[in-house]
Amino acid sequence: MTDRQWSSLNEQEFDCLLEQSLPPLPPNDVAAEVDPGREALTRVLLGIALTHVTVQFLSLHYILPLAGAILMLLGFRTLRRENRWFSACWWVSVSRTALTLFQYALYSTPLRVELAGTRFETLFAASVFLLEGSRYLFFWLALRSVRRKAGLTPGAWSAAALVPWYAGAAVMARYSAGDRRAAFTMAVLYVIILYVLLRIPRDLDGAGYVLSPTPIRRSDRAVTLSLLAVLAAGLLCGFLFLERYPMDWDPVSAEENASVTEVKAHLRALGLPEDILNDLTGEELLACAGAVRVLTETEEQTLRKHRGAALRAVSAAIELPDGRWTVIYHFRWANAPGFHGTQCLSLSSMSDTPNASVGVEEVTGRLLCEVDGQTRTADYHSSEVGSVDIPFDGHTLPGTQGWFTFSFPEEGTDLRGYLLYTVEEVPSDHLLGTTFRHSVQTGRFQYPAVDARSAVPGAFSSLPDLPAFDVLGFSVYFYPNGY
Amino acid sequence: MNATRVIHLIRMRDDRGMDELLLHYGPLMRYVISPILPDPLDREECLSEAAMRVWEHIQRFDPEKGSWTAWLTAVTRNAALNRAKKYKDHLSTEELSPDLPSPQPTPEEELLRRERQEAVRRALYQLPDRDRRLFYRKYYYFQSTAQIAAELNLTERAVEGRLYRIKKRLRDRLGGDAHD
Repeated sequence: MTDRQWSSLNEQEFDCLLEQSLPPLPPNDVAAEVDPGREALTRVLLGIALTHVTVQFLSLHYILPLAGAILMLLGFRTLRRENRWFSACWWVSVSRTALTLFQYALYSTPLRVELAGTRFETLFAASVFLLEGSRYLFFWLALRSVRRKAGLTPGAWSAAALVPWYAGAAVMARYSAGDRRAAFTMAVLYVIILYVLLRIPRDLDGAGYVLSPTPIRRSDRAVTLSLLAVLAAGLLCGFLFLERYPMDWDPVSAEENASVTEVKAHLRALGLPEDILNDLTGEELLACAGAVRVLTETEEQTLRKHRGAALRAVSAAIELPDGRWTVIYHFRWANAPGFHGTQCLSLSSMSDTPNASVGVEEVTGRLLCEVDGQTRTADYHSSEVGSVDIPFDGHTLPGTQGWFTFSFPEEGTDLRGYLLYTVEEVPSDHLLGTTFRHSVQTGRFQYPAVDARSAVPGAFSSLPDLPAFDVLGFSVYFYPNGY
Repeated sequence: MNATRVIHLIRMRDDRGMDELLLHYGPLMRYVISPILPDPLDREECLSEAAMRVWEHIQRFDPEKGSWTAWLTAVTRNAALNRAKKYKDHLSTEELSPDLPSPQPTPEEELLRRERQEAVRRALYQLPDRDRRLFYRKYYYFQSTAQIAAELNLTERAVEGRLYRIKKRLRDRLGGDAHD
């Protein structure tokens, strides 16, 4: 047949001639792959394989599981009307994908760190476990139903292996994370799951031809783009609106009674800096009534990652009439970083006498700033103080460590705050020594997001390298009885 | 499912071969028949007919020429088309043999048909795999656009668009511009 003859045909004639001109046998690959459930089943199996990738390289441990979740969703979407078990798989996939998107969006805000160890986290993890486990169970039952429909024995035992595999992998991940042997075992389990997944299509034994895929109204691309748009919106919300701790800022009362004024004058005369005097509460000032002497230290540091941002720390030790000492650490941003994210003050103190260490639950303090010409104050977002044994020079010393988290308002200026604690007594030849670490979130976009508290894990531990954080250290030492 | 076992049993004229054929390959055969014969009763009768053809002409299966699945679907398709011819629908009007169409063409017709087949085969193999499978679904297996869309996770509009582009490409390769 000449070229001209082909081209002279109208559409109907061309179609007819094509039908008649096809080779008698279809190509082998075509015959093998013209299959109603193949596309959907391939997506489901590939989705299962990708969901459990935990390779921490180029963010693959985020991208691949998300791709796996979407593939399973699309695969089960097509099969959802085949039988009730596939329908259950579909609904579980919808729920699981929603949880995945929520979790990924949550990772964009440092507030997620606060959920660690809470009932919410436990519930969330339990929900994920139940959804994943039930999906594998329903999938097995769905394949059995398909085999039964095709007149075969139910079987599908390859798919049944998914259920115990997942249970084992979940337990391993929960209780042995970080362990090398556990990581090796997980890798072996993953190879097993890939082997199982490859056997499932064979296990169907031709029953796949009885599947009745459901027509779709929205293309896979449209669904995928919609899901990614939802995720992007969630991430943006986290980055833009949830990058600081929620704080309650109240106006400071300017009233001051005569007693407070008298104590302030006395402390001023002893040398307590104005920075501290003006910011302490009336109660705190009255507690220092009759002070014997005041020792002070001042230091200013600039952030490494945000040149131009400078923090001024003024520390004071006030000897009280009964021999106790009140130690105050006051900080003020001489030049605050442009981004007001999370911040954390960590305190660590040790002494070779129990009474000279900071007592638990005795650390107080507050934050202050100016907003629209008015001074506002807030309590720390969270505070945790505890005793600790510190290894020192071959033995251990009693110590105290604490963490105080906070955030300043975006519109705030003259950002400052302080911590105050009391020491019972300082024997001769001893010192009052405290180390303060001030971690500052300097970057808005970090993923997964951590808070400033994470940048100062242990008062005596080395600091993790977190790109979005800078840490300033201030060592405050007073020698009440001379050096 | 063990194709070798089924083929062996049928060649040995063992009745279990027919049972195994219908058990393991019945769903595939029904799948091929369904788009061609709308009536359920017709389908079941056609299935029996196709199974008999497999039984009778098993010696014509040559693994060198194609896989078991390819041969089985061809036999089943031809049985369905022959049955459909009785109702004068729009499908192929040629009498199709169990293993090859046109059992008794004239030499000229046979030559022409082979030339056309060769031209179409060459043109088809130049298509991407995905397009080639889509084409066979439509023009070999006679699946509806709706069925193709559902099975390939596409909208019907997407399938129509792809088929249009495939045909245009084939027409270009087989000769000349598209003719509307």
